[in-house]
Amino acid sequence: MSLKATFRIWRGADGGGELKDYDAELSEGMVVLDAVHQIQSDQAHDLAVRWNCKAGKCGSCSAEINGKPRLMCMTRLNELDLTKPVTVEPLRAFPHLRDLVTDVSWNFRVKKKIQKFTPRPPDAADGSWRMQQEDIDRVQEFRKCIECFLCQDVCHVLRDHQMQEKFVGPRYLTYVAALEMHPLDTVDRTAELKQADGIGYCNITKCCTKVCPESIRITDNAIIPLKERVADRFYDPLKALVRLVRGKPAT
Amino acid sequence: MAGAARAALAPFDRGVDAEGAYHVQHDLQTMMQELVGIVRREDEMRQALEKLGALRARAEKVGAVGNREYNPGWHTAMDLGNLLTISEAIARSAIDRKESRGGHFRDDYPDKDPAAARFNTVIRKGADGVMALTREPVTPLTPEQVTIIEEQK
Repeated sequence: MSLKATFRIWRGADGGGELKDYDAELSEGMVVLDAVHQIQSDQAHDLAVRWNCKAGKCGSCSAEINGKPRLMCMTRLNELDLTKPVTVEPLRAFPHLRDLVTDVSWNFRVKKKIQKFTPRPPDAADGSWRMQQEDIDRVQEFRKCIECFLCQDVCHVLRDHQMQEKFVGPRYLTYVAALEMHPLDTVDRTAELKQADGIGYCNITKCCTKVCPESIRITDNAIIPLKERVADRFYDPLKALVRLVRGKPAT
Repeated sequence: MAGAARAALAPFDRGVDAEGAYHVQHDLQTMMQELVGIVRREDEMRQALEKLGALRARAEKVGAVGNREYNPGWHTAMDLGNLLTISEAIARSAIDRKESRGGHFRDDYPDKDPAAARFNTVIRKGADGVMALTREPVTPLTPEQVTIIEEQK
């Protein structure tokens, strides 16, 4: 028995290109990345694709499969409709390099802008700290992020409005949340969130949460609490009145 | 440098008509799995050395198509040389180690040999370009390490 499916893959460089059809032989338990590798070794030796762990933990093989941002290595063929061609395209929110490879370096530049983790002095003479377990649990969820940038890809603020200069995107709001809610951290990033990170541009459509392969509840657990902190600092009417009287603006 | 660049780009000159690098890589994998795999025997490994020669001849003639950015077929063509070198080094040193130890299991020498525990196998590129294999003594354990091992027994 030799079942086949058609994969409609984006071929081309620097933004240009077209979708090309390739047939791949199917076997049990196959994922989209397996099919791409098969096509690469049998039909298109120069098909560019970024991948690494094949286990959904490295965040390299992000692509848009049938129009949805997903990891190729975690998308099983038996959950797709194989009677129609399966389209595989590069992440459209980033500059295209070749075939399925995009330049995601903007993300790394954004990360550098965020104020680093700054722990308070150790609690004990041996250089260790004491923390409550529930405080640890809260940030642990954010630390599951594998930086696949699927949330950045799907976010309309970045994808459709190209606000890369003004908005850091869901991935980095999650990163700020992990730092801000860390029990040892001493830095206050509230003003940074409002200005440099552009948290106000997010209008909580929750698309980032939907595509996260690590099931991080980005909107509910990271972005909304941070928005509340910003609102509390800058937009509380009572506090604004007090500030007006004292003549001290919020920082 | 110029020579290395020429060698790296040679697969493109041979282009689409030549055999693809993935084919050779796949055959190398299958051959090594069968002949120098989990259970090893001298006659099989000698056979592997012969087959490595034939695979090297094929590897020197593989072609690549397309561009130079993110071209996995071309990368595989360049990797083949290293894969063949490593495969040969594994086969040669596995033939030389006439005992079974850890992940190295010899069907023809199923037991550990205490004498073989005292050397490491070192492979160098000989003057004629052929691999030269030597046995070099393992650094002896310090008296303290010996005591710890004895205590743990």
